[in-house]
Amino acid sequence: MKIVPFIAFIVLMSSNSCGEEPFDAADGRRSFVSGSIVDDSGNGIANYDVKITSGNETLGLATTNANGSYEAAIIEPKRGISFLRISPYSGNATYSSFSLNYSYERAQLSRSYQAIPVILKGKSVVSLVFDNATNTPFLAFARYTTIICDYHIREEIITNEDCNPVRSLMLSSTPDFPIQVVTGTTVSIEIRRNNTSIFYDYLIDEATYEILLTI
Amino acid sequence: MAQQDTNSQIIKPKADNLRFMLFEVGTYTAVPINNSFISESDSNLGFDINSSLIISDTYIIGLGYNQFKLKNHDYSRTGFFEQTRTTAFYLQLGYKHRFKEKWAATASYGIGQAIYTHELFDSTENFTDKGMYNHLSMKLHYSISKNIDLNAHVGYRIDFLDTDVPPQLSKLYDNVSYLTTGLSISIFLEKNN
Repeated sequence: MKIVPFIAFIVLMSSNSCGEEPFDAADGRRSFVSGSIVDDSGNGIANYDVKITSGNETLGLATTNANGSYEAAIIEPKRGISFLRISPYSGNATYSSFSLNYSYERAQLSRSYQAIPVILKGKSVVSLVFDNATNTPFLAFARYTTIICDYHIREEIITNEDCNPVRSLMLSSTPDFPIQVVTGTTVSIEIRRNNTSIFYDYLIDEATYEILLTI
Repeated sequence: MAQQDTNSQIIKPKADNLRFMLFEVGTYTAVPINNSFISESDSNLGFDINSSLIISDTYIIGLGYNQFKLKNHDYSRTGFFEQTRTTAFYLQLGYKHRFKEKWAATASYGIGQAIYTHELFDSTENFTDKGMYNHLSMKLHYSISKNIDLNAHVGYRIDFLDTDVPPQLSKLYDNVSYLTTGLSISIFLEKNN
């Protein structure tokens, strides 16, 4: 019968370990993050909100000034900072997105981080509408330049840069969502039906753009 | 020659009396006044409670505690957390001057420990910054009876923080100063020698 409390203890411990651990912030310590965000003409982007995170924890927030520079005090986990991510606080209506992902072999304590400058491009929201007049099944492939720009930086050296990659989206009907593309780029759409393909190219030069395809 | 108020003779303590102030409790408002990590935070009404011994109706030595909350707004200065509960435990030394039968003024200095407990948004865990509490204050007292005073104070408080920060943040985290005000009531136990 002594095994019953033991099993109960194990079950209790395992159920606790399944939950998300509370953020264990360090007493009496802060770090400092600074950086800048500019547009593709080199002009600072003002009032752009960024967040600084480590894992699931938000450590700090900052807003760019008129020159596009930002600075923030950030709280720290007790274990120090091994991963630091700087990204937009929320989606921005005008500009493309980014993430700076810093990693360190040894946990960093109470230090200042000078983030690499970020260059953002204009963002357009494109709605795709397929008017399938004949009601015949089709497949559509939309190729577009994404607004995401990810940098991976290890020990202050950029190890990977994945900036505005071209992606392809397969559709069989009008999508429920618009796609977000870099302004000034081309959205290419291929319609496949009955072993034939038809190609359409659209230069996206407006902040909002609707493509209506009667097929 | 003016006629002496008979009530005031009861209130006025003898020169060599020891008076024990059982407690003084009241409001405590601390408004940040220097450029610090919490200078953009909103200060809420807090409280102060202290107890002291008054020697010869002149010299004061006591212990106290106060607490108030700061609502966070500028996360770029503070880091990402919701609000701060600021507490202080202090030793107080003061000099009291009775300038009318029912009226007195006190200049005092308090020294102790200030603890800034920061409450995170979505966690029950808190974290703290600590520092040395210093408070210079002027207090006006009005005796409404032998054992009860009403008080109003205005003061200057400066907390020297021990927070470990990189040089870019040292100006914001070196010290925090406040203008403090409060209204309070004191209850006395009087012991004649």
